Amino acid sequence: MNEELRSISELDRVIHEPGRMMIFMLLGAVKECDFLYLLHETEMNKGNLSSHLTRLEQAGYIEIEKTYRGKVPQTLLRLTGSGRKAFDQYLTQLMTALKPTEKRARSRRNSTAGLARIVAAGTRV
Amino acid sequence: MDATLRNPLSRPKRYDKNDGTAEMVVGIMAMGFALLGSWQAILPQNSIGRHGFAEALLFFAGFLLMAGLMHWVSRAIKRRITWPRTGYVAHHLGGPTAKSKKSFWTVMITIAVLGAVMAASVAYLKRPPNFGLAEQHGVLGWSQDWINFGWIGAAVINVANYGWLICSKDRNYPWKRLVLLFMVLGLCAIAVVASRDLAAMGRTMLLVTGLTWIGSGGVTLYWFVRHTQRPTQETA
Repeated sequence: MNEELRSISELDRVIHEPGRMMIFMLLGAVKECDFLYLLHETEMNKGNLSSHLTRLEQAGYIEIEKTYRGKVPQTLLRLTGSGRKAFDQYLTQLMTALKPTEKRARSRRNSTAGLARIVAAGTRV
Repeated sequence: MDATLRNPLSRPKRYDKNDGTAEMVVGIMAMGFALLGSWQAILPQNSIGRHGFAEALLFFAGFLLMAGLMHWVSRAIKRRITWPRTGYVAHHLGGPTAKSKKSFWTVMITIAVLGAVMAASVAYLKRPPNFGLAEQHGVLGWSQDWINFGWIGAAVINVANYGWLICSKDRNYPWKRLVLLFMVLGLCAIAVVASRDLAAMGRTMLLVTGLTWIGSGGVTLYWFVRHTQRPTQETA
C-alpha cells in the first residue's frame, strides 16, 4: 500500500466524523466556548451535539466544565492538549492523503479551461 | 496548523463584530475625543486646563474615562444580549498569521497616509492666513495649528477605517455602504461649509464620524437582536 493510502486508513475515526470535525474546527480556533455557541454554529440538535461531546470527552480530546454565569448554568468546552495534537496530526494525514488527488483535480480543471478557451476562440473565428 | 485551514477557523473572530459592539466602541472613542476637545475649547484662555501639564492630565483622565466606558458598554452588551443568544466564546488562541499581520499593517499604513493627505488638503484649502508660521505665532502657536490638523486627520482615518471594516469584514450588511457614503459626504460638506477655524472643523468632523459609527453599531445590534432569539429553555 502506498503512503497516501496508508495515511487514509490511519485517520483518527473519532475526529473524522463530520459532526465532530465541525466541533474540532470551532474549538480549535478559540480558547474556550460554551455549549450554546457550538449549538448555534454547528446547527446540530442538542442531543446530537451532546452525544458528540461525550464521545470526544471520553477520548480525552475535550474538557467539559459545568459552571454558572450568574444563576444560569453554563457548560464551558475547550480542547485539551492531546485533542489539539490529535487534530493537528489528523490534518497532516488528511493533507498527505489528498495532495495527489488535489493535483490531479487541478490539472483536470486547467485542461478543461484550456479546452473551453480553444472552443471559444474557434467559435469567434 | 496549515495556513490554508486557518481562514475557515478565523470565523469565530468575526463573531465578535456581529452585534455591532466593535463599531460602538470606535464611535464612543471618536465622540469622546471630540467632546473633550470641545470642552477644552470653551474653557477660558487663562484656565489651567488649557496649558501644559494640566492639559495633558485632563486629556489622559478623559481618555481613561472613555476606555472604561468602552470596556463597560462592550462587556454589558456581550453579557446581556449576545452571549445569552448565540453563546459565549473566548478568543486569542494562535494569534494572527504573518500574512494577515502584514496585510493588516499595509491597510493601516495606507489608511494613515490617506488620512494625512486628505487632512493636509483640507487644512491647506481652509488655512488661516498665517497657518503654521512659527515666526509669527511662536512655537506654541505653530504646534497648535498642527494639533488642529490632527483632528481632521483623525476624522478622515475614522472614515477610512469604516470603509475597511465594511469591505473586509461586514459584507453581510450592504446598507453600510450608504453609511460610508454619508460619512464621506458629511465630511466634505463640513469642509466646505465650516469657517477657517481648523480646530472646530476637525472636532465637528470627528463628532459626526463618531456618532455615525455609534449609529451604525446600534442598527447592527438591533438587526442582531431581531434575527437571533434566546433559546427557549436552558441550553447553556
